Amino acid sequence: MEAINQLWRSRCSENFRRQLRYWNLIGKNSGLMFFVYAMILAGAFYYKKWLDSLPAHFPGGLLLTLLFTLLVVPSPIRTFLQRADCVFLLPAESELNSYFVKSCLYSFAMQSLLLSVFLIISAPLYFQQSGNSETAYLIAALAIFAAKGWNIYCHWREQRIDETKPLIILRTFLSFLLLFAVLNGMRWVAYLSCAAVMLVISFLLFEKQAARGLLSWERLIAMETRQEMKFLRFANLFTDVPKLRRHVRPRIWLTRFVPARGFDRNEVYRQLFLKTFIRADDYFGIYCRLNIIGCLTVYFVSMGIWTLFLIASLVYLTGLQLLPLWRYSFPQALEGMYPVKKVYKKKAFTRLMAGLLAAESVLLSISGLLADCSLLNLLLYLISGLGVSFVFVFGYVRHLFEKEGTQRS
Amino acid sequence: MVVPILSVNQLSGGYSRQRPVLHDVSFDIKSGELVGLVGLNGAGKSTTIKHILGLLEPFSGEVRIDGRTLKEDQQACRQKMAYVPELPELYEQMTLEEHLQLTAMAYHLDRQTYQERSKQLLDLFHMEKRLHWFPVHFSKGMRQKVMIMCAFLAHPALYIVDEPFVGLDPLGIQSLLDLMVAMKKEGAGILMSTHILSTAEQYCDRFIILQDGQIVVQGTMEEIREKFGQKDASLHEIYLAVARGENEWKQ
Repeated sequence: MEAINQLWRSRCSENFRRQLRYWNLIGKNSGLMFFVYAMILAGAFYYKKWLDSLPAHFPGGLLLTLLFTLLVVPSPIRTFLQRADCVFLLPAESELNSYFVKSCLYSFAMQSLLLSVFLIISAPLYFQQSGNSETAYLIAALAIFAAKGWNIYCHWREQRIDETKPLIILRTFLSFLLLFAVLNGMRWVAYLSCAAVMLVISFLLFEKQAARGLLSWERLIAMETRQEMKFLRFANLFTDVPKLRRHVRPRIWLTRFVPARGFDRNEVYRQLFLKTFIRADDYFGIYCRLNIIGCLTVYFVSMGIWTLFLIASLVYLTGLQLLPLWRYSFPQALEGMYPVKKVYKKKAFTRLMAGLLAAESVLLSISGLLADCSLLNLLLYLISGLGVSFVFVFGYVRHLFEKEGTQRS
Repeated sequence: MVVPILSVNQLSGGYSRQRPVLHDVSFDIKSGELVGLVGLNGAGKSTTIKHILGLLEPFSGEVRIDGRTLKEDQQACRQKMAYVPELPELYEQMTLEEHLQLTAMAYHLDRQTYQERSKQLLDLFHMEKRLHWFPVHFSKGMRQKVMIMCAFLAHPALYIVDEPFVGLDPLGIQSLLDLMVAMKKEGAGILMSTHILSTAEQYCDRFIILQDGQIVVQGTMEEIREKFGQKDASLHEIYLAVARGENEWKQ
């Protein structure tokens, strides 16, 4: 028993140490930290402006309810389980109760931290929209934490239940009702009765069904891996994460547009990087998301000359996110043995980067044009975006190559 | 004089200079020869192969491929050889067809040659229906087949094949053996490391037996039998006797 308590503690602190190491590296990536600070400051400024411009009938309460429902319902549990536990810990499942309770409490604490941040951010919106007192907001906050706890409990029970979809829909619905009641200043009878229904349901549905089922280790481990990968992928944006297990999506519909052009040596790395970009990890997803978010921001926040900086920083940020593609490890027995000079590899990579960043610059500029209908501005946007692309690829990336070259020899 | 396709001269090497794995290893492989590299786990087979491929640097001695070292002309050396590793390593983000295409591009095959050879290989290894599959869906044996097909697509002058039979089905093993015989006839040199001594005895022209990083004996089956002193012993029997320390090689 003591050994199992010890196990949880040592795994938790091991995880903490590992994350700390990555946070340290992330902090050192000054270019991106600067960008994040700038975005926070700009965000605060525009938040205030946006609040002042809101009409009286704006559904602020509903918006907050939706936001917090999205934060409260998904409740992953960090169990710190490893693949090998399926073999080694499985026989001790009945003694692992305290281990899993600790995991649930830990997950609750971590997710509550995130909730607190959002509670602070949404406070101005709440007070302006509802005109309620601080006490009401405090009660709402307590209800949100309670709903988080309830969701974690239910999610833990779901690990023993096969058919979880209806249960997830049910707890989403109930969480939404409870949050709507407390965030929109409804009478206490409303939310207390909702809470009572939740309690009864957790007992009648979740507890009863879970008692019949077996703990799904596969699902637990998948959940743990997913959360770990999420963090590692995030850290991989700033620094190289060797243990990141690669995931691949075929995306045949998309790769059909980039068939092998010829059997040329140039083509080897063009194909390799293109298909790795489209299929591996989440390079393509990140690129698309940044483009969509970028276009929307440029269109809606049309702020004249500042749009130039916005476009420049979006292109720069995209460049940084795509950079790990260069360090993507290819199998030594294949790529390492190809009779192809490494110059071709560098060339193919810079070309792909240049193409992607230029395409983004054009997209963002067009969205700028749609916003302010000025051809002169369009030209300026294009210069800004393409300029940053050029400097990033032919300045920064080249510089990285040279640094790598001198380190090797 | 004909330059051997692979020549290893007084090679000493390993992972750290303090503890070298290989000591003064020398052998040649001529065109049209299939040579078996035999030894216990840890004898230095994989280390020898890594030195030939240029993944490790020799502490002393040299490896020449068709007369040139890797340092002198890396492209030309790489162009002349293909490698089948012990553990298959594939691009997880590429289909089988794309694996073959990349090899064709890297080794500069023209489209027609690529199509002919790939069709043949796919047929031979019964993989034609899996052309658009990703490696996640492949078993260990299929992964090994992909590595073999990539290596044999290029038709290089030298093949380095590391323990190829593990995980292959009997048909696959036979296909690989037939393929090696065919390439040999076309004039390729092949170095194959293996533990399957009966197969090796049947197919290899010569053997190199490694023990503790040194070549204890090399030569044809007859030469080895002679040194062992038993006219009708099989490679398996000879090797077991030596490895257990029951017999000594005649000096």
